[in-house]
Amino acid sequence: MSEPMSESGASTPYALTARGLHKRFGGLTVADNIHLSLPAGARHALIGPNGAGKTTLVGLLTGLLRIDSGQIWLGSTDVTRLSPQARVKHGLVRTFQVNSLFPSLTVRQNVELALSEHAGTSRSMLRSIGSLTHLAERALATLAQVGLEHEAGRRVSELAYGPQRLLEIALALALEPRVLLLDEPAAGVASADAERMMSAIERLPCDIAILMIEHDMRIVRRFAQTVTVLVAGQVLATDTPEAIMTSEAVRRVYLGSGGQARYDHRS
Amino acid sequence: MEPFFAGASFIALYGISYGIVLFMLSVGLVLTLGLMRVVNLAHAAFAAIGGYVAVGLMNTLGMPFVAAALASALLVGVGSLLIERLVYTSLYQASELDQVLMTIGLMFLTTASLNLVFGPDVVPARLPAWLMQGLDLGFRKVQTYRVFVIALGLALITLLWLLFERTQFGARLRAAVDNRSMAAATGIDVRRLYSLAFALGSALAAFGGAIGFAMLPLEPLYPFKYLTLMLIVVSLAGMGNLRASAGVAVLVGVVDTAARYLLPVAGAFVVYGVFVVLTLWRPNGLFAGRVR
Amino acid sequence: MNRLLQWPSLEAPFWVAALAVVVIFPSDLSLATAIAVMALFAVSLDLALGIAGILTLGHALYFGAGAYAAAALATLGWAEPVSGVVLAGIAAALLAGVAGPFILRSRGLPLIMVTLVLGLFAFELANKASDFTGGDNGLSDIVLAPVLGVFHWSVYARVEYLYVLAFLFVGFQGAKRIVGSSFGLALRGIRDNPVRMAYLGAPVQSHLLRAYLSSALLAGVAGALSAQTTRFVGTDVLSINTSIDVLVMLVLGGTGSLYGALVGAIVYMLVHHLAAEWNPYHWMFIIGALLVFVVRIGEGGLVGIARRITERSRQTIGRRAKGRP
Ligand SMILES: Nc1ncnc2c1ncn2[C@@H]1O[C@H](COP(=O)(O)OP(=O)(O)OP(=O)(O)O)[C@@H](O)[C@H]1O
Ligand SMILES: [Mg+2]
Repeated sequence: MSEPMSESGASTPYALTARGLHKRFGGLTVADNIHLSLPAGARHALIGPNGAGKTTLVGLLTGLLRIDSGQIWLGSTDVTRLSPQARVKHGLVRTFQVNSLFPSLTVRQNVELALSEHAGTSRSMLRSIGSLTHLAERALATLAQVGLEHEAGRRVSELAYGPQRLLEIALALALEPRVLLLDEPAAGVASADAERMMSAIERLPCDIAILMIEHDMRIVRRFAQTVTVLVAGQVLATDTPEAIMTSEAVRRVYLGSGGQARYDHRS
Repeated sequence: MEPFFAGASFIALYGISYGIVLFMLSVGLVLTLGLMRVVNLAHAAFAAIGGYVAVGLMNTLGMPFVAAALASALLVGVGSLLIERLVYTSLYQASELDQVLMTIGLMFLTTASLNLVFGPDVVPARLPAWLMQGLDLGFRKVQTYRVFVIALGLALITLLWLLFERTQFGARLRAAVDNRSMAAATGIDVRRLYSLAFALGSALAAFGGAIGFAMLPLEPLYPFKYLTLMLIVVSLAGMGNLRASAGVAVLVGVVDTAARYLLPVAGAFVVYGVFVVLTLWRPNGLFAGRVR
Repeated sequence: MNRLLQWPSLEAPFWVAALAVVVIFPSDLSLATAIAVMALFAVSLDLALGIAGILTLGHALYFGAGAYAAAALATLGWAEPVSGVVLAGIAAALLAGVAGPFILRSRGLPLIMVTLVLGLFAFELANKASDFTGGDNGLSDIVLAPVLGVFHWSVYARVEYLYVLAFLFVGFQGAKRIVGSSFGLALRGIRDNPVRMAYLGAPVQSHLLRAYLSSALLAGVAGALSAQTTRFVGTDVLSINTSIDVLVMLVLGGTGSLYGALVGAIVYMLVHHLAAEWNPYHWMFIIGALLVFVVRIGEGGLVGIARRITERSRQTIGRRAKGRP
């Protein structure tokens, strides 16, 4: 079986490789022969108009949705047929465009959930969680990474939207991902929180490969080394941010789809 | 071959007519589950009330059977609108646990009230003479009532099919079952749709309770007794799958009748066994993942 | 920290009071025994429903399985009661191990229906298997050795009560342990948001199954205790009424805190006892009203009310204290 290899060296596979992903919802093709590869430490942005299939692609990569055809590798492991849980164990972690948290638990408990699944302590039924002091410390440290350590004791249902978005990231970080897929982390977040969000993302360990879906081109430019443009389930272009922003084809798609004024905000 | 034929035609006739009453009782539940996602365990209470009202109209006002059933369906349908406003609207957003608790509570209250007003025994009521007569089908003489219920059921299914497939109301209903938020976004008044669907389902249950009182005797525990069969129909049909519900109801009726006829001792047990296996095997309905 | 478990200060007095019942109400110990049995059953349900969010309407299955297993052991000559209870609990857990993987495939509404239908099936089965269950007459020839070989079963049910209370204590502490572990936290995570749990890499199904097994074990123990202390098992241990009764107790006390199970069982059983003379249909008014009441007052049942009252009074006290210079 063929293994995905990076162009430069035969021995260093990409952190994430997707080849020829296809997905249809009834008559609607949402992923059409998508190729994507993220080297370790990648800072990759995925842009595209609403309904282009960006969230769907994350769902396909993580196993929430079943692909019709194609293959997905994490490193040199073929994960195409693995469950979402197994992919997480291989280091593939995502956040959600629409907050998906544990509303009746506290902020810290949310992170502890992730930590204890990652460490495997969630299987011990009788050991008190209070005795796992390192868990509590790690939880606070993880929260500090996104600046939420002061909210640790609050219930998530009492948390404002911005901090909830930050907690989304904290949950993902607790899992020590090798590949992190961020679905519009800053969407709808007030600018102060968005700044916290972006600087938290920028401070992430540089060996994590990150794919971020984002509409705001200022953020894309600040974050990404590489940008992939997805339109109607197809990859239109993959290039540096500068090249993408000056591309006539990309411009046409955005202007054609209308209402994407944010694209023109670039400065 | 004679006894076999006699047995088979008995099972078919009794099973199908029973299944049709089950369909009337449960179609409203299929609808409310698919549309509002409300676990309305009290649905059978509407059937019980429908039966009691119809029998009351017959016994006190001397109303003819069918007219009484129709009147009762109308009364219960209208009454259910009030109950929907008072109780169910707050349940649409509630957790499934709360829905279960509240509707079980309503079921208890209904049963207790029926007992208080009408006493604990089965309500004495008689079918009109013309339905009690035997009807000669050529190969077999049968009770007219059973044939009448089947005919009525077929007519009702046709009417419902027309309503769901051929009217604006039906199109909206199907759209909302498929995708609620989408339906709301396209300007469908989902709130009103819920009320109408709820009233329709309750009226149908009441009609079933009235028409079927000679098969499912009216007693205070009625809401509990027949809830299981209704839930079996609903879960095998799959949430909101109206088309499947008629077929499944008839199937359940026939299997139940056949089991009781062929295995008088182990009957109910075998039936539940079959349905346990089926529901465990396909918890989201026999046709889940196959329709559309 | 964990809000749900912030009541330990009241727990010690509770157990002391439970012991004191022996002295204060020496002639009501049969009732107290029955309450303790149902409290343990309600705790088991809270583990499945309140903590893990497994919405089951058929938990009598495991209560009944435990009861019949205990009765069968006694009939077969296994007269030692404590090991009988343990074995019966294990039998119930084994049953859950067989049924659980199927039941837990569904969630929410289909789960309710599946557990309900399965419960009815078990009830019918018990009625049909009258050779084993005694059918309508039930099983009453349960002969047991003295507890630990020393304490003879008494007419006044004193040994019975203390025996059940000991199991309730151990079972409750065990359940509390589970809830307080990171496994317990994972269960609450699954209750809140199973999809996200899967995306934290959690083995959701296996977590749920283990919660279900633990719950069935406790339910089986409660059933066995019921059989042993009443020396009788009728098919009604498997009936839907039993499932609904324990559900009402739990939600009345409040789900998800374990304490609610204790409070709910006590209140419900006492009210039921006071209304024992009533026509059973009138009793349904009470259950119906209780259910409507519980949903109307919102989360937390009686324990929730108590917590809200204490929180509010603490706030007022705090405000008054601040008001003074
Ligand atoms: N489960 C589903 N069934 C059918 N169609 C779906 C499903 N999920 C998404 N779609 C459709 O697939 C298309 C792509 O959706 P997707 O959410 O991936 O877009 P997106 O690029 O993330 O858009 P946005 O920028 O709005 O988040 C949309 O047209 C959407 O309506
Ligand atoms: Mg999206």
